[in-house]
Amino acid sequence: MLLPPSADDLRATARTIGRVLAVQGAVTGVLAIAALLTGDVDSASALACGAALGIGFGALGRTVKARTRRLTWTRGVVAGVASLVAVALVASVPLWLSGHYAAWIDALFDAVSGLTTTGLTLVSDLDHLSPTLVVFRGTLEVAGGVGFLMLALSLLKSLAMMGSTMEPGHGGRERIIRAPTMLWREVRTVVGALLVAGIVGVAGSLALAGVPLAALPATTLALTASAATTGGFAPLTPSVGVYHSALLEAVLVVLMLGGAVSVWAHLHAQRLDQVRKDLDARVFVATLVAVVGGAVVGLAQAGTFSQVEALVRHGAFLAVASVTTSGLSTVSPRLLATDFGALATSALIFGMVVGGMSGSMASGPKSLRVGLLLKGLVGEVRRVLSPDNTVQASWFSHQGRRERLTDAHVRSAATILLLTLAAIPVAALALLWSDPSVGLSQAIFAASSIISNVGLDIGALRPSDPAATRLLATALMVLGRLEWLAVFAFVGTLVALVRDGRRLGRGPRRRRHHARPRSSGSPGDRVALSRDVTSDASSTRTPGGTA
Amino acid sequence: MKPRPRPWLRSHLVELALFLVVVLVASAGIVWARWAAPDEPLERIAIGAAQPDDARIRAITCERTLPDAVDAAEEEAEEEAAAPPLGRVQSSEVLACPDAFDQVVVDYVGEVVGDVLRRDGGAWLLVNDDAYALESGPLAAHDAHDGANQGLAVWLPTEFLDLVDEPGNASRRGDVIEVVGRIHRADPLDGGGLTLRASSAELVRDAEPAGAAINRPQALVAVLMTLAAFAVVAWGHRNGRLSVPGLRTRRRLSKRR
Amino acid sequence: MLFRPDRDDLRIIGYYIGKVLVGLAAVMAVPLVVAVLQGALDDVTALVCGISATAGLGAFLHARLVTTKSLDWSHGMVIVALSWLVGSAMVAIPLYLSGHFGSWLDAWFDAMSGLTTSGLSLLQDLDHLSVPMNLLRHLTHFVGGQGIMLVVLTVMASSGARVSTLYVGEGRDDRIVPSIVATSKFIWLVATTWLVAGTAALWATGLVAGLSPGRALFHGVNIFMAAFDTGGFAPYSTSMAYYHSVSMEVVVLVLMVAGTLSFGMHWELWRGRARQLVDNIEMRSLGVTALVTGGIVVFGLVRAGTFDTTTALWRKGVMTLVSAHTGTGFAFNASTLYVTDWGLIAPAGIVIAMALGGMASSTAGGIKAMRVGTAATSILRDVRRAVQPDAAVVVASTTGRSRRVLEDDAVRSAVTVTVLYLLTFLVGAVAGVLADFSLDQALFESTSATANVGLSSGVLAWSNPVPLKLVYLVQMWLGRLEFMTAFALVGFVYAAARAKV
Repeated sequence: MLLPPSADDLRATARTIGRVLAVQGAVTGVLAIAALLTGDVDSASALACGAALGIGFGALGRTVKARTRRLTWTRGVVAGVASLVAVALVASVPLWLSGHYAAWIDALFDAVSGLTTTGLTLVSDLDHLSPTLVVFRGTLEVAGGVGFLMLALSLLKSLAMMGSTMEPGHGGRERIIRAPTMLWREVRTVVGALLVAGIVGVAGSLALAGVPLAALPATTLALTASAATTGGFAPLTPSVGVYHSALLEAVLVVLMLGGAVSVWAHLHAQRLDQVRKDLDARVFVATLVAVVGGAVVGLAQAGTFSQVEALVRHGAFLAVASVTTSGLSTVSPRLLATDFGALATSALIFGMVVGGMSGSMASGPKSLRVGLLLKGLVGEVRRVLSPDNTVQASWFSHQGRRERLTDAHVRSAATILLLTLAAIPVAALALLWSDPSVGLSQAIFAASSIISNVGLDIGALRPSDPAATRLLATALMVLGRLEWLAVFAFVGTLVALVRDGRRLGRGPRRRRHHARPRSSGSPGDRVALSRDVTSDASSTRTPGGTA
Repeated sequence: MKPRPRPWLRSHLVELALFLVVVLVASAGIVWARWAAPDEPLERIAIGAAQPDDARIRAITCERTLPDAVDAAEEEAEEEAAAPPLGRVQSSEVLACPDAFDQVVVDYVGEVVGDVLRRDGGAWLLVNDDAYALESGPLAAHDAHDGANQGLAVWLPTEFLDLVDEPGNASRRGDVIEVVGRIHRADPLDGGGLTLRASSAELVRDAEPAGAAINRPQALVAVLMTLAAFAVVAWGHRNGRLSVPGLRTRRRLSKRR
Repeated sequence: MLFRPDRDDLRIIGYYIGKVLVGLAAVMAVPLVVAVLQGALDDVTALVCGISATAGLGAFLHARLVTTKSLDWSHGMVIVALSWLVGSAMVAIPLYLSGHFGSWLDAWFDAMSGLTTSGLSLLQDLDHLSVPMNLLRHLTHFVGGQGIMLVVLTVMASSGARVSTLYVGEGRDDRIVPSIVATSKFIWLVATTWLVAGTAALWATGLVAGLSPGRALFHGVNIFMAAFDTGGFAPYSTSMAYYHSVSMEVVVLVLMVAGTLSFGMHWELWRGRARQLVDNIEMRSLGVTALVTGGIVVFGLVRAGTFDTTTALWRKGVMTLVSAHTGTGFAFNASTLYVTDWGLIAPAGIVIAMALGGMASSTAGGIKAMRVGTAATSILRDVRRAVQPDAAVVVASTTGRSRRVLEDDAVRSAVTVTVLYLLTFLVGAVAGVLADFSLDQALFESTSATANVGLSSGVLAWSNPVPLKLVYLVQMWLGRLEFMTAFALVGFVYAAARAKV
């Protein structure tokens, strides 16, 4: 039985969206001023429109008063998804006004692509896009990268970190254990350091590569944002290949890896023994090695590059770009499609389908899930080999803790992976249908790139595709980035809202609390839950129909 | 803890080695039987070379036409229908580029294999033009391996059916015929199959037997292996370890560890 | 901890493999009788070689290693995994001696393909293959499809209580009636009934198609075994397209679908419980996936302009889809045409259908409807949990032959094996790619091998490099044994080496 969110919940959600929109509006405003200063009046006005919309709606949202400040799983998810939609809608306005998009949904696609740190683009004539808009696209990536990181670490803890509370258990009402402010401090440290280091490194290597001073700030900001947040928008069509600089590529590789390594690993970089034991980190490194190897061997076999240096440079960069789900590229989409050979392409697809570490800015199904599944597999084999089929416990290390692998772990890891794997043929078939000149491996590549929010472009998705395909791609980027279940929760809430909307305004129905929701959580969760139950017993609704 | 018994495999090394020797000898015998098989390929059938470099075939691109372009393709097809036969084609060319040959009248030579599936007004034939059909004959008779079979489904009207009284099988190369007819990429009368509907046919060569020679080494190996197998069975039976249906086992199986 | 095998373990494994081999030798005697009747001397000697080698080895192992110790779980797994390897190697002997193979490996490939009811073939000049050899190939489908172990179980029904591990090892966890022997008898009853009815129907339709009575019997028996056991060998190189016959295709359609139903389902139908056809989770899963993939294939064929009439879409498109989904692998047109005439979308649909496969505990291959259904139910439950976070407990249940609540461990083993299948598809595809085939073709072939289907897009040829052939061979073996049994063998060998037996 589905219960609609209370009016108070809705008000709190509106406040959250308001805050996000206001921040986005303010950033856009700063960019508008910058555009004005550089004399780019058209971009300035376009950005000003976006800023006005953001600040206006943001302020509107902040005027709503909400009583409770309690964050629950469901509400967090709803706020997160709704903010994403709101920001995407607002951000699409300046993009569309720039005149570089054939249709508004292309601008929306790009906004979503930025916010989900994908990096695919439907822009036309990127090479003449104004620098401020290039930076604006970069800000979307940072907003998305940081936003989803916060969401994953706090609200979506259950989804992203795969503790024992993988599902929105406890009726979706368990409190978020870690305060967002504390998280924010950690995230700020890591992302801030990455961005600052990135700006210095990228600016230096760009200057050495001969980029003129005038173009330096915009290019630096855009590339740093793309690499560090695993976004993948590029300032110019040929992406990183245009700079012909090994140093820049090396800096970007470091940045991409930094973005795809979890905040926990960043903060525990000194405790290398712990990080080394971490299942997530192990699988991530193993995937990276496998994909780099596959890409380099594949390129060598296909004879794409004759020099060893070119081979390793392009192979390794693209491999890192795919596993970290960044999607910056050193070669043109056309070359990727026609000249890369099937093995290198397959390796890159594999990297994309695994994705980065959980609790990082990277997307994709995440190496932790793959690791859990592999662990489960090994356990299953050991079970077969044990006399008379007894189940044996297996353990894994996650963020410094030793945890026991349960069936629920495996199942929930498999759910996300199988959803991803099932979505790939759907998207691939849509792409094949849209454009008969697209080949099968090209379509699978593009589909993986969309669903894992990578952004490597192989030329399969184009503005000339039918609107249905572009909208499907937009939706899949959101689904992939929010790891599916969050979107389903959002949809469920919307359905409940529409169905039971008339009860709105009455506030939460007060009922006596009957039974503790069935708990399958870790001890910590259970403590938090019982505190939740005792302190909020009066305001907590029981599951529908039980009373 | 009780002491581990002596490793079993190690204590039976001699027996194991003997066993492996027997397996190796048997394998060698089998390989020898195959290697020493008679190699008597049939005579190659001399026919004119195919004409793959016909200007029209080169003009036809091998791209599939999408439905939007079908009208144009149909017009093209009508033009081709009026054109004279294309000349001799091979099945591999047709299969590699089916759309290009749709509705084209061609000349095709091959061996009839399998069965003559008689229906009203004619019969369906499988006509192969691979190496076994036109060059070396059925594989059982020789050692010139050339992969899988390849051919076309041919519809032959009744008046030509007298030509094909002996289709090919393991012991003979079937009648080799030359047909002239139209290729249908998706023949509506055959549920969408790729067919060649012959309008005329003539016999190129009568069926001829192949592989009459007996593989004597193989017969020898068979006899030896049968004897060996019987020896094993007899040995097992004597030990009372093997029950042979119809024979009483001498000793009962003793209870073992 | 892993168990440490000792001499008794080796004995018991060798002893049972001996039994299996004797059973296989008996099976090979069937084509021998035909060969003798036909007076085909080379075939007689080839088959005698095979039979005496198999029977001799079997009798030796049986007699030398005779034991009364009873089987346990891991023995069963190892015996099954090894029997399939050794058994196929023995069946390869007469095939190899027929002269239709480039090497003994090719013959082994075909024997494995036959026993695993795959239907991929490296045989050369099939159109000139003799009748007894053709019968032997198709018999391997029948034997492998019903299960080699089952052959042994029925032939030697007395061999102790724990033989059930053999049966489970072969991927037949669905015990229909309490006694394993009764179960195997029922399976043979079903198979024989279908054999008689199916062969008769194919014989009659063959007569209509223009075959002479004798030839119609030959074709009928062979096609029956290939269709009902979802094998996919055919007596002639053009497979089902050889017959140009609607009525035959209809019979084959029924047989393929019957073959992909589990024996549990046959049992329910036998008992007149037709409701199971609708209630069963596997039936539902099959229905949904067949509709979806069928839609993709038909859409793709129309889109590519391959066929424009309903008849053609049905007789080529849908039939190929059923052939792929049931794991049969009959071709309804030349395999080159999938690449040159079918566009991209339709073959993609075929690949998906092949990967999904038929029902568990049937002769079909692939991921299996049971796993697809379990995984889908689990995912739907997760979705429902996310959509209805306010509901305290979301319970999902599946209806197999009885209704039960879906537990996490069931989901776990279903998804584990599913993921293993997916990985194997990909590894095989990479192997194909390394041999310079395009990704789509390599994926098609690899899926076909792992899912024991047997459709080919033209990759598989006798000229393939040996490693690629070996990859496909192992894929067929792994796919038929559903991985775990094969892993048990590897683990056993490892443990035996460590324990220094």
